[in-house]
Amino acid sequence: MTCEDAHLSMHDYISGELAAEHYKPLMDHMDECMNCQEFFRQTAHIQTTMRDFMLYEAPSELQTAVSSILANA
Amino acid sequence: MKSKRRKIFEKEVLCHLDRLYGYAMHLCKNGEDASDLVQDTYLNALKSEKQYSIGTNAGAWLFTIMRNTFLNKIRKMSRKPAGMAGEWIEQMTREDISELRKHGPDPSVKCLDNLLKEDIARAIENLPDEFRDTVILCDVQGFSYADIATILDIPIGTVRSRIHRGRLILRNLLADWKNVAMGGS
Repeated sequence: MTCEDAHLSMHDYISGELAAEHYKPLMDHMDECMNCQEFFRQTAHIQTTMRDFMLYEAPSELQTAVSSILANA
Repeated sequence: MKSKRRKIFEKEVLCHLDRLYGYAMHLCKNGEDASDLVQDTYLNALKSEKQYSIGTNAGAWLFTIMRNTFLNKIRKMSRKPAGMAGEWIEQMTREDISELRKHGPDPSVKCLDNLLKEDIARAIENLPDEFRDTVILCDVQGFSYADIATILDIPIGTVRSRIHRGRLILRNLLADWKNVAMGGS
């Protein structure tokens, strides 16, 4: 597997979309390639941080309003 | 008296409220408009209730309705969505990928370990719309490529490509800012 192929597989892996047959070649490549290991770590870290920061809870007034919309329809 | 189908429908759509609000915040940029958009989305979902099959993918269905509701609002206001990607993005990602192939990640990018909410928010705002939407639906909302293709009405290959490029642009924007903040060149 080339580094270019590994980058594509890494993104799919992070998205939860990596096909099973590409998993082992990706892990074998990363075992040997420090650059790809680091790229994977950075990309996964950004994704996790973004998810942590960007999850919202709907305000209570909105929860009430939506419940009312559904109840009165 | 509500039917059993109706009760199940309400349960299935209501559990996506927080996610919808999060996506509405991303689209509208403020809480008041986001709350209005969420309510309009549920009203439109009720109008289309018969098109929804119980036990299928309520999340993707609602996000599709929200996106269409938002775009219709924008059209009515005669505003075009801003930030369509231009050639510079294509060029930037081509160069970035080429550099990565040659040298691997820049070691100075270790500074990405200490990201702040403001850094992330600013970097996301600097992504062109089509990359931003796709990355947020995947990385924040956790949708599959197939669901994102449905929500955005684009081919699945385009979803995959936008996610790859969007993440790369995001990473490099953050690395550039962090590097400057730390006194790098």
